Formats: sequence, C-alpha cells, structure tokens
Amino acid sequence: MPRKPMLDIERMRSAEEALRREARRLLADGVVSVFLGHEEGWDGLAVPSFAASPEDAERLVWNPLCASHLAKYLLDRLAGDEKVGIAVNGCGSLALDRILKDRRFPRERLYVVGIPCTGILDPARVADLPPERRREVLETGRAEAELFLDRCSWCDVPNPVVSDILVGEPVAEEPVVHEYPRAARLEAMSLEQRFEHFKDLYERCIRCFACRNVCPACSCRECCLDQWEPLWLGRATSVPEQQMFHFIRAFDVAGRCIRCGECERVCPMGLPLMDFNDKLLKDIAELFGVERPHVPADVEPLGRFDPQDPDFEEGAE
Amino acid sequence: MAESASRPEEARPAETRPAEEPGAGWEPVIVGFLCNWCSYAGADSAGTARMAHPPNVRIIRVPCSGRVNPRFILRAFQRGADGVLVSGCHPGDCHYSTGNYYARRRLVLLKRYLEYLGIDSRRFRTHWVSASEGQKFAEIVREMTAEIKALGPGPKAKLGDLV
Amino acid sequence: MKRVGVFLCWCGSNIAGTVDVSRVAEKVRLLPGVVYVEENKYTCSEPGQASIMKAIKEHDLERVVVASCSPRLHEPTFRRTLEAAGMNPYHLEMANIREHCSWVHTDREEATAKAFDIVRMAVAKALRNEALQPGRISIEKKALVLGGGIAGIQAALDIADAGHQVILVEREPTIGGRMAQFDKTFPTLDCSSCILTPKMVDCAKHPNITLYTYSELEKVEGYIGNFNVTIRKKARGVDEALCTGCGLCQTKCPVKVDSEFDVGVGKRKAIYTPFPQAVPNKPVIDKENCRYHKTGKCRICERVCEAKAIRFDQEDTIFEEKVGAIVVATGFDLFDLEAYGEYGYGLYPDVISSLQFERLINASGPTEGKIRRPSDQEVPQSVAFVLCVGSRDDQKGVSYCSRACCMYSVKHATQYREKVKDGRAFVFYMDIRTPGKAYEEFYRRSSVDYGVEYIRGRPSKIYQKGKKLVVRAEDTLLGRPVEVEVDMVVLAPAMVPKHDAARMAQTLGVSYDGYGFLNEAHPKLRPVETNTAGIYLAGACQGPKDIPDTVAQASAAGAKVVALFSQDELTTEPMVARVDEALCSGCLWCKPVCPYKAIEAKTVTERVAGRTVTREVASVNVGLCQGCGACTVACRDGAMNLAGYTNDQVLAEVDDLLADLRPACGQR
Repeated sequence: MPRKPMLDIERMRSAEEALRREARRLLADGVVSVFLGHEEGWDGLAVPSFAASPEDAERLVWNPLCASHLAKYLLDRLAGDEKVGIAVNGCGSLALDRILKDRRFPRERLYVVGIPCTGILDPARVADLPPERRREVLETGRAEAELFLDRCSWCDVPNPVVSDILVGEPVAEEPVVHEYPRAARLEAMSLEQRFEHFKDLYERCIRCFACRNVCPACSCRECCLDQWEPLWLGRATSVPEQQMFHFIRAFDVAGRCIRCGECERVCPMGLPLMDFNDKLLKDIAELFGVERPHVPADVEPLGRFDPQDPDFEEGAE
Repeated sequence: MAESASRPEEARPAETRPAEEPGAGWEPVIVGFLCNWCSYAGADSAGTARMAHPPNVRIIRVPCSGRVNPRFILRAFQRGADGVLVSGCHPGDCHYSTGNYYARRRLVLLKRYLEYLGIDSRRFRTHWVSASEGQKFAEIVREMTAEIKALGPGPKAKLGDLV
Repeated sequence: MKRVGVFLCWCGSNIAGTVDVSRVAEKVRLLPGVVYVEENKYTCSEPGQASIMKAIKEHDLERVVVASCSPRLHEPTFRRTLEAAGMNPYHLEMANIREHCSWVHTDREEATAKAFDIVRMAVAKALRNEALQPGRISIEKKALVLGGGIAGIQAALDIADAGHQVILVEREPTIGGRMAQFDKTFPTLDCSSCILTPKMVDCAKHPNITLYTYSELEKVEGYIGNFNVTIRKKARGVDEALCTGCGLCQTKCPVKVDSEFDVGVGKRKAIYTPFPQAVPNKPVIDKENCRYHKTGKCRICERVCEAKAIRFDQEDTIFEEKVGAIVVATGFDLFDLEAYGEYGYGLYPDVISSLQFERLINASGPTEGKIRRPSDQEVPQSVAFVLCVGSRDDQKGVSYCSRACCMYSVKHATQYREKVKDGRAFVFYMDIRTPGKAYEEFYRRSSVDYGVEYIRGRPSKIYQKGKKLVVRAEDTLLGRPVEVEVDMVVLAPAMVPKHDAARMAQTLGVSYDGYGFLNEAHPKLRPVETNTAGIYLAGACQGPKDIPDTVAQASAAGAKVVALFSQDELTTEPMVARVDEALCSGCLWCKPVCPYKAIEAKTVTERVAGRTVTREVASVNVGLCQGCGACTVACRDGAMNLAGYTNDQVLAEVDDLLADLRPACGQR
C-alpha cells in the first residue's frame, strides 16, 4: 500500500532552526571541522552546503526542496581525521548507512544530525509549477502527491536509521507493503517491447556518469567502468556498450540499492533509470524473501545464501 | 514465491528473427562456463564414455560456478554467443563447500534480469552436473542446442556490433 | 606480444581420427602471438615432451599451449615439462580437444572447427598468463586433538607414536568418553573398559601427549600449519600436582547427587572422579553442589586430604598453544527421549534409555551388573527394546539412521537373556541393519541361540498397567496389532550432534550439515578432511558411527596429520585470490562469500598530497585461500582477482572465441 506523503511546514521550520543551532554549536565547540547540509541556491533551490564556521551555519536550510542526499560528499573528506557533521532525513540516512555498511567512511568520524521527515518535493516538478502556485506550495505545504519525490510514496523510514541527535519529534512509522510498479509495468510487456524500451534508453544515454556519481552504492575508489585493463566497458557509445554500462551499474548495486532514485533525478536526459533497479529490488524481495531490500543490511543479500533458495533446475527454466 | 510476469514458462512466440534470416547452415554458438571439479569433469566423462553431442558448446574452465561474473555472461552475448551455459557442482556438493550457493543466488537473479532486459532467458541456462554425470551433460547440450536453434541467432544481431 | 608455441596432439587416432589436426595447425599459425606450431602423435610421451622442451629453447617461447586431452589428466605432466625447460610452469595452457571434442563428435568438419576454437581460446588465455610461484608456509609439528573419547584417544596415540607432539583436550574431568560407559562391545562381546582403559593409560603416559582434561577450546586463529588455539582449563578445585588420587575425599564428602556418568541411574559425590579408572585419576569439585561453595561451611575434603591438594579458590586458567593441525573428535549426544511423550520416558521409572541399560549391566555400574529395574530394584522378567527412537522419524526426530542402535540393542537383548535365563526379550524394530563384519551372524545368534523375540513395528504407545508396562505396536509383518506386557522398556535413542556442535564448528571455521554434524570435505574421497585445510574429523562428530568405524576414521585422521607433518614446509597452490590494494575500496563484501574465512581487513598507510592517510583494504591469507574465486565476483571494482583465472583472462577467452575470425582466419 503506497504511503501518502505530506508537508509539515511548521515542523520543517522548527527543524531548520534546531539544525542551525546544532551545527553552530558543533562548529563553535570544534566537535566537527565541517558540517554538511543544504543551503539556498539559485532560484530558491536547495544545494549542498559545507559549513566550516559557526557563521556558515546560519546559511543552512531545511525545506521541502532539500532533495539531494549528502552522504556521498563524505568521500571527499576521507583524508584527515577531523570529524564531519552531516544532516540526514530518513532516506538520507539510508544513503549514509549505505556508505557506512560499505565501509567507505568511519562512523567514529561522523556527527549525524537526524531530521524526522514527512516528505520532500521533487525540485524539478516544483520548478515546472506557475510561480504563484509554487510560492503557495512552499509556504503552506499544500502539495499534491505528484509533486513529491517518487521515494516518498513508499517511504518506510521517515526517521533516520543513523543519527547522534534528532532535531524534531520522531514521525509515527507505519508499515508499508512494498510494490514495484516500474518493474511490474515492464514485465507486463513482451520481450520485444522491453528490448526496444531499453534500446531506446541506451541510444539516448550520453554516458555522462551523473547516475553513477550520485549513487550512494557506487563508491569505489576507482570505478571498473573507468578501468582500461580489463576493459569492462569500451569507450565507444554503441548500443551494446551502453547496455553493458547500465547492466554493470544496476547489477553491481543489486542488493545494495537504497531505491532513492537519485540516479534518475539527476539524469540530464531524463531517462527512466530506476527501471533497471526496480526489477532487481523486486526480484531480491521475491526470490530471497528480503522484505525491505532498500534498507542496508549487515550482510548484503548476494553475500549470503540459503540452501533452500530457489533453484534453476526446478521449474525456473 | 510470487510469479513474476517475466517468467518464461508461459507460451510465448520466439523472438522476432533479425532482418537477415540465418541460412540453413546456421549453427548456434554456446559459451559454457564449467566448474573445474564437477561439470568440467562431467564433460570429460561424457568424452571418456564417447557420448556424442552437438559441437556447439565452447567450454571455458573456471574453478567454481561462484567465479562466474554476470558481466562475463552479458559480454558473451554481446560478442555473439547465441546461448550461455553455466554449470557447477550440485548444491551441497561444491568443491569449495558453498561457492555454488552464492552463484545460484546471483545467477537466478541474472536469469530473470536478462529476460527483463529483453534477452530471452531460455538462452541462459544454469545446471548442476557432477563429475559422474557425463550423460546429463550430453543431454543438456543436446537440449540446449536444439532450443537455441529454434530461437535463432542471439541478441548480438539486435544490439549491433561492439566497436 | 608474448611468443606462444602451440603443440597439437594427435593422441594416435583418438584426436586425429576425428579432428583434422593439420588444418587446425594451419589456422592456429595465423593467430596473434603464435610463433611456433607443432603436431605430435603423442605429446605426453617422452619424445613429445622432449620436443616441447626443444622448441621452448629454439624459438624463445614465452607461453605454451598444449592441445590434447583434458587438463585434469595431463596438466601436471606438462607443467613439469615447462619447469624442466626452465619456464614457469604456469605459462602452460591446455586446450581439451579430446574429451570435449574428438571423442564426442563424429563430423570431421564440425570437430575441426570446434577444435580450432578451443585452441584459440587457450591461446588468448595463455597470452595473459602470468608467472606464478607457489607460496611456502611453515608447519608447527604439533597437533591438537579435541575430545578424549575413543576417537580422540586413537588419533592422539597414532600421531604421538609417529613422534609428534599432541595436545589432547577433553571437556570432562576424565578421558574415555562414551566407550567408558559401555559394558561390552558388539559383536565380539569384548569388555569395553578392558580394551579402552589401557589406551587411556597409554595416552596419559605417552611422552608426546599433553593431556588437558576438564578443559575447553575457546578460540582458533590462523591456518594449516599455523593455528593459534586458546584453551580454557577449568578450575578443578584440586591441585593435580599434589593429589595422589587416594579417593578419601570422595568417601567422606557428604553430598550425593545423580551421576552423569551413570546417566542418572547411580549417584556420585560433590567431589568426584566419574569412574574408578578415570584418567587422570584426580577428582574435581562440582561447585554447583559442593556444600562449602553453597553455604560456606563444610571443607571436609580439605580436612581429610593428606596431600593438602584441595583448592577451593582455584580459578580457570586460559592459555594459548600453537599447533599445525587439529583433529576434531567431539563425539555425539543422545536424542532427548522426552520428545516421545507416548513412550513415557521420564514418566515411568522403568522406561530407560539404552545408555542407562549399559550402566545397569555393567559390573562396575551402580547395580554391579545385576539387571534390576529402577522402580523396585526387582529383576525384570521381560524387557522390551525399542529401536529407532528419534532415528528415521521425520516428524519427531531425525531423518537419518543412527547406525549403531540395531547392533547394540541386539547385544543388550543377548546380554539380558544371558543374565536372566528365563526372561523374555522383545525387540521392536523397523529394520535390523547389520552391515559389518560378523554383525549379521551376531544378530542371527541372538534369535536362534538366545531366543530374543523380534517384532517388526514401531510402538505407538507404552503405558503402565499395575507393575507392568504395556507396549502397543503394529506387527507389520503379520499386519495386526500387538500388545506386549513387560517389566522394563529400553529405548534406543538417535545419535545426535553435540548440543554445541554448531558453535564448535563456527569456532573452528568448518562447515556442518543441517543436523549439526561436521562436514567432511568430500563424502567419498576426502572423508576425514574438512574444507578447512589442516582440520580433520574423527568419530561421531561427523555422523553416527560405531566403535570400529570411529577408530578407523580416527587412525585415518591421524595418518593425515602425520603426512602433513612429514614435510617441513607446505607449498600452497599459487592460483589463489589476490588484492590490488591500490584499487581496493575496503568495502569487504568479499569477506562474507569466502568459504574459508581467508579474507580479513588490513590497514595500509600511504602518503597522499603530503598527508599520511590510513585506510583499510582486503587481505587474502594464502594459507587459507583455496582459489574458488567467489570473492572476485563480489568485488565490484576488480581489486580482487584470481591468479590463473583473472578477469582479463576469462574476458579474453570470451572475446577471442567470438571474435569473427572464422570467415577470414587470422586477418583481423
């Protein structure tokens, strides 16, 4: 059953205030050397902010447009041993937990300010609204479900799974029955239609790597797609190479994808990239009984097995 | 286990043949990744017992089915394989105790995923063949060759060449 | 590009009869890298090998491809040939054009085309072969034997007799294990302790065996040849060096509790040795029942001990040992009979287990060998023996057959008939299984000479009727219900894994089956090895066994250890996983998929932009790695690779096989 996201502007404002206060304190007391949050960018959009002083903390915002996850910026801070502060809401904490479970940043070097969340809007969808309506949505919080990020529709982690302190009261959690409509839609098509659907996607992809770069599960020191020996991915943008590109990207995060959809949101070509991931999430749930495949596990689903797992030789063919 | 819509058992027409219909002499190429301890030895047993089977499978020896990276399989299809076979020790009999269990998870997922991407999953088969099952290996090769002959050339024809 | 020589074998007519080898040679000549091609009638023959060595020198070959039979047959042969020619043996690649080609195809054209493809793949791979060196690891020639039952005793003696140090660790206060509890052994009716106790004493006296009783394994680290084991020696409450084993303390101790050794049918004191022939013959204080430990008053044992050996305040000691091999001989438990409520075990005093019966018929047991039933100490005039209680029962017990119960129950019935001349013995069975030397004869004798009555059928209920027990079953041979009134019932429980077998397996890093029995490396060909090199199995920890099988397996495990210790260094297979530390992101998702626990995190320090940075990377223990390659697939950035089967090599095989060479061979 899909969840109904909503905006609670009052809650956001008080969280914003508490967030600034907490960041200011952490920076002033020297607990952290930098604090990762959002600040207001061009045209009212929320952009990542790297507050390095108590004064910088004043710029931090928490509003319905704070869609981007900040965890991946931690990789830029790997050198050194100073502590880093970071603001995460529920899904942002999944991204952070992904980085932590992939052991890409030490937990001891983090101070995590958690923000219980009731929903975030898709900035691109808001940008398309007439200015009047847009102002109204952002001021009153009265937004229709279509304006929210896709991930809000099934969100079962409104409260951060990783945090040192919470700003704001926890949001009531409701069980969510997970469905995978994107995969289901494609499964209903014929083999040929699906092939054409993806072929069209391969042909339009400009291989800018934005999807990889934003992905919290893609955090290798040197991506295999950039390697020359072996040449996993040829440099030509032919259809098969594009297929290999998207296959490697999707299959390598199989079992570790947090279903945030950031790949798709940042795609400059507007490609439906979650079509790749949705199927793997769905199958991992179905085949291996993983109820919440988007939540980082201590051992990833492909890193373990059950002797009773479905087998090929019994009817799977 | 919920049935996914992409499961291949329901009747379905073969993939549309590519523009250039293969000639009468067309023979499919099947790449077989066989684990050293069971299935490669099983293929050896088929040889020792002179169990004739079609010459369409090209065998790549790997230590364990768990060594087979899904990327190898997609690469084989892209390079022109019409079918790919992965075969390992029976579950529970793995030379490396559990390698084939990890392989099974990954490859069951892959089989469904190939189908999802528009590559007929009948082109990708996974089997358990022990060192003594030469007969079974020969049987699998016969079956798979016939099936892929009926399906026609593999996805390379539709994807185009790698540069 | 490396200079490759290709040697195509005719194998008499085995290959050449089907494959046009000369035509393959022509095409192979055109492959990139190939500088020399030769055909041989029998490449594996002396002259065949000589010509490979000659060609290596004359043509400066850097890689060799032999296209012949299965590498499973002759890979070692040709590797030696390369080595003899001064080349790294791993520069060899084999193309299997016999088992996988000429022997299974009939059409000459097809077989020839396929043979070429097989050789082409081998050349592609060979071009990417690297020189590999086997690793060497030292061997600590000292063995740890876990468990001091007959299996552990036998293994320890065999290893010690070969001149190696052995540490024998036993959890109980004495060695001897289950066999010490038995009265007689089937089918020869040897007295169990008469054949066991000399071995126990040998163990204690052996200059090469160090005995740690009342001790447990805490931790195992390391790998074959180099295990570091941590052992906890539990506080005995007695200074073993001072104690003379006089036994006075046990006589005077005022506390009486059920004896574990007598399985509840006899009593022992709070300071005790489990049985008179215990090794070492030094008592332990059972702190839970000791009056002094409970109330702070008593200390009678201390007062009467002339050797002044009592130490109430003794503490556990923990120590480490370095060993090169481990033999696991931890034995079995018995199935909990109370799972069968309908049999009344634990409810009716005269329904007992087989092991309790062993104690009742044992001359050194609580009844001094007189069969007296527990309720009223009377001699039972009829006894029913029920087989398969827990065994072969998917519903309530375990699916497997416990293997020894038929035979010991036959023995029990025989012994009962010997002692109670006019008594009647009934055996309720599903099948009587007697696969062993002189077993069937023993069974036949029990019925013909001793008049034991066999009824085929699993009892459905046992209930009390006055002083009698009624066993109700269906006689499946006659197809009709039977009811037998007896004075005592003896249930033969399934043999099950030790209650903590799974934890033990995890501590050791060996695998175990769905029941909890430890897994052998191969059910037929490697029955005493485990999948962890250097750890071997003996006895019922691997599965139910009788004494002869246990002893055979124990000696086999001992032989394996001795063979290992016959070398000073161990060469390790060079085809193992290795990490490119520069690439490794340190995610360690390779770690959970490793069947051998060979991957650990390792910290590396490097200078980056003038700063010292430490980070974690994966590290492969080559002593543990067996080269399966599961880790390479879990590794997303390709930092983990498998020597001999690198990503590059496998991809080259795929690419070159399918490269469109056939229409214009060699002109790409």
